[in-house]
Amino acid sequence: MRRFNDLAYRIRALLTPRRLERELAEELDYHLEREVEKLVRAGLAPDAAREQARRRLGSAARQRDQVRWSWGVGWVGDLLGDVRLVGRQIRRNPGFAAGAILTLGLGIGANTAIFSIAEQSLLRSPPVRDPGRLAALYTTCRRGELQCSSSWPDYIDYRDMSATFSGMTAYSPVPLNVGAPQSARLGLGLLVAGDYFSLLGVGAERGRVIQPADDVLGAAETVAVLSHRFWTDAFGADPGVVGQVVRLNDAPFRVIGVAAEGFDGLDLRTRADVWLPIKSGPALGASAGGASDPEVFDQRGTRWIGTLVGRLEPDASIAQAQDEMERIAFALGEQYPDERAAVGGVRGITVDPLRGYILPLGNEDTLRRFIFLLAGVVAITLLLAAANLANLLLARATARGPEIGIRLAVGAGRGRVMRQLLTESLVLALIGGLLGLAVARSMLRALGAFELPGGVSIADLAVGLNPRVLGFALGLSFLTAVLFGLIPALHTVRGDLAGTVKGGSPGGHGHAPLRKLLVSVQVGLCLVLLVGSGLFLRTLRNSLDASLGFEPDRVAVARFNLALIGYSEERGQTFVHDLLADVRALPGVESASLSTLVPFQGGGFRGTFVTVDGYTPRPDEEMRVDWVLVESDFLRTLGASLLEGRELRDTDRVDAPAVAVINRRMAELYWPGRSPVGSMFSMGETPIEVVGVVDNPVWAAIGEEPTSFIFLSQDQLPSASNSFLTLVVRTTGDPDAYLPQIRDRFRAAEPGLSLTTLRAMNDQLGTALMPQRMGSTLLVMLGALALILAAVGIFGVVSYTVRRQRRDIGIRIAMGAPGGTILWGVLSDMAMPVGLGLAAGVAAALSLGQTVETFMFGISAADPATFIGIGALLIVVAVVASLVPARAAARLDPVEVLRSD
Amino acid sequence: MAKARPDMIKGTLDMLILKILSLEPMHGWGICERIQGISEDELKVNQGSLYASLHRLTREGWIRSEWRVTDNNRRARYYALTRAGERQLGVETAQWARLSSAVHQILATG
Repeated sequence: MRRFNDLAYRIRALLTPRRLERELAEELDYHLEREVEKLVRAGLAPDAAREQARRRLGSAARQRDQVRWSWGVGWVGDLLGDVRLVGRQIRRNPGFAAGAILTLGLGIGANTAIFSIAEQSLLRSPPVRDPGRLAALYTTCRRGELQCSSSWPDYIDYRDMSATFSGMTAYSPVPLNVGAPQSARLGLGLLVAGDYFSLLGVGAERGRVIQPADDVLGAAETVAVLSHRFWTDAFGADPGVVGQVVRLNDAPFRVIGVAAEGFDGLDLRTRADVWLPIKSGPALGASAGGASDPEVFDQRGTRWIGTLVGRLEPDASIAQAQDEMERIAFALGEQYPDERAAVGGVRGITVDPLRGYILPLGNEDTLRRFIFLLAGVVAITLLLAAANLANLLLARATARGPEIGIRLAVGAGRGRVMRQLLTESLVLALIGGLLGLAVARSMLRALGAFELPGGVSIADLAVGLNPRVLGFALGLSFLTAVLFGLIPALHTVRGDLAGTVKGGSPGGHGHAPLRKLLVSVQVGLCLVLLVGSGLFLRTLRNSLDASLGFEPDRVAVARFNLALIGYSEERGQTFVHDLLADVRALPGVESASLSTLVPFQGGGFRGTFVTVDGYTPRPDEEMRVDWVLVESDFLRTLGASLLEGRELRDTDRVDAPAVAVINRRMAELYWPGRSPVGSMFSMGETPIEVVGVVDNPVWAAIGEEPTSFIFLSQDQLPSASNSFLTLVVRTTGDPDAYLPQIRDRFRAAEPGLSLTTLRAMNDQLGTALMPQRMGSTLLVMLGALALILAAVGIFGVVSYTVRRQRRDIGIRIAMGAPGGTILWGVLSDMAMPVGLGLAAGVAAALSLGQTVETFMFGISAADPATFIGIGALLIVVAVVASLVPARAAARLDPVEVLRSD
Repeated sequence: MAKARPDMIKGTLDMLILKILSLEPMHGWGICERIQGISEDELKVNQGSLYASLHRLTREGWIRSEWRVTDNNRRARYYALTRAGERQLGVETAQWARLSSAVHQILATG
């Protein structure tokens, strides 16, 4: 009963605090009245009696605080009271609140969006058992690439000979056309060793996962496991799919299960849709690449398994595993020297502990750096917003000085007043945080069009507002509130009361230097952001202006893979030749050709080892070149400049001698100072004649170091028609206008073939510059925001200074000081904080240069022109922001000023 | 205010309020006057503590309150003892008796 009474009372106190407050006030009033009456009866005059009663009873505010605690609502009640106070405050000054919430919303929103991206790409681990004990293994190529593929027999030996790994699995990606060719959809398959699921500790949502028994050559029935996402997207989560036979690249596979929800492999970029036993590769035919040949499982001299993943023994360290694997790799190299030589030798092996998802190979550092860069940029923006708010709050503390002074004077505790001020910051920050969530959502939607370095599409990441992201936004709101609220709150409650109530500001003179310091901080941070956006913009321009070694304008590209619909080599060759003839005949088509790879496509080249007649390599030199298979007229269609000799022709067929066009880089390396045209080199056993030299076309990234390159005729190595091919079309007009016609040609020739890419070459280039585009878009937006905030901050401080010095200025004007002197005096007052901020900003921007340098092209991260330009811009903005209040000061009417004080 | 009056010993205010209310329902000012009157101004009642106590005792369910019109036609909140309050007064009185006799005994020794 007592418990119940207590609880009911507390709830009432929380729900109807106004009534309780009113009743308490009435009760205390009554008390006071009776006390006054008593004193009047004792002979005091009514006024004196009231005065004495008040003094005797003490501060009503403090009593109310005291009683409030007895309501048993403690700090909750206090907090609600404070929040109500804040509500009144906001209603009284909605402009300030709106500005604060908006800046905070933008700042917190930008941070939340970037955190969401970081969380999805870097901070998350795949949902497998104990991911911290997993490590990826890559063989090291002689060319120094750290991540190369392995052969099946090597994998088996690594797995069986290792004592530090309790198990090791292997997988390799394969493009899939899922379903009957006419209605197929593209998916990514992973060919996995039989122990893949058991090693990772991933189970099935439905049916079962692949087991070692499924992974045999020539199985009576080949099986497949779907990812939960693919099952949902492609099959509408139909439970009936499990047990059915589906066609993968036109070969039958029985779906035996759906993997646990949320699991789609270990790689960030290549999310698995379907898992297949690696030894069912031959059943897929040519599209399985290395795994299409059943004999490859016995051949040590091959390289095709993309990734090996091992699980460390509980007591083994990464260093031990690294040592052991190097020993094993070396021993195998000794044992099988010929096989090693066939793949250019293996220098070593890298054991790479899994930190979250496996990032796109070769782009790990760039990706990390890019995300750090984004995080830094948004963090700076939020700091700027916080500095700005702190400044505004300090300004307001001046305005509210008398009110706060009175509250302190009537006995409200300093702690209580401070808590109220902090509550206000907190409420603003939380509302800002809420707005930030909306900002983050729309920002993520906008950023979905971009790709991170390594070709990770943001749209593909499950970026969104998951609990971790929400927690981040909430924590950040709290932190920001403390950041911008604490110092002004401390300053407000400090200082002498008497002066405050008389109309000064509490903490009085302490504000001016602090506010100037905040201006320095703002100017400095602003400079860093603006320099960053300047550098990114110039990089983007430089990249767009850069010489590519080919002409991307008026070129359209279309990518397809005939192996995915079960074409044989011969059928593929016929298709390709018919298609080319068809497209070349289209009106407005200047020329058309085909290639296994075109610039900025992403995806690796094929490397091979060559020997050159008359060239003796240094002992340690590796003569590896990248090769591309093309149809006739390719270089002309691409617009690459032929330096000498001729381009590949239709007559360069299987029955003709093998010929190649090489790039300038290769010519300079192996035929220094002379023409290579007419010379011979060998690829394996095949002798090839150099018929032409082309300038170095840029292939993967603007500013890349060119590598040796050879262009071979597709007709002389026809197996190429069984992999991805790109049709290249040079048109007389806008290439986009030709895309529908090109699609029609494909559809007419093979209705079951879907194009993985169909776009203008320039769009493809755009994708390659995504990080720069994303960086500059973000930086320019945030830089503009920063500039506005800094201007507001400077304006606020100057206005404040002028207000505070009104009397002095008035007197000086009265004594005959010219307006110009007054103006100059006010302006020069800001020179120090702005100058300090600029200096600090330059220092900070220079020290961050290293992180940015990776993304720069044709410009140094310490580019003087950018620094000077941005510095000048900031000075102009600072002068303009100061000029308005400074002119007002110069025009002060001294009589008015002195009278009003 | 020549004579410094001792502050109320912690916890005794609750007991005194319960005692005064056991005589008749009373408003805050009345309770204050009673305590100071009966103790011949020996005990000072701080207004804040008084109302805090009253509200806390109400929360505990030992007293209840209602608004009444006073003799000279003003609204005042009157507090009255509940059954639980009577029991509590008994408990506290007994406790106080034990405590004060113990303190007496200590002071009487030596």
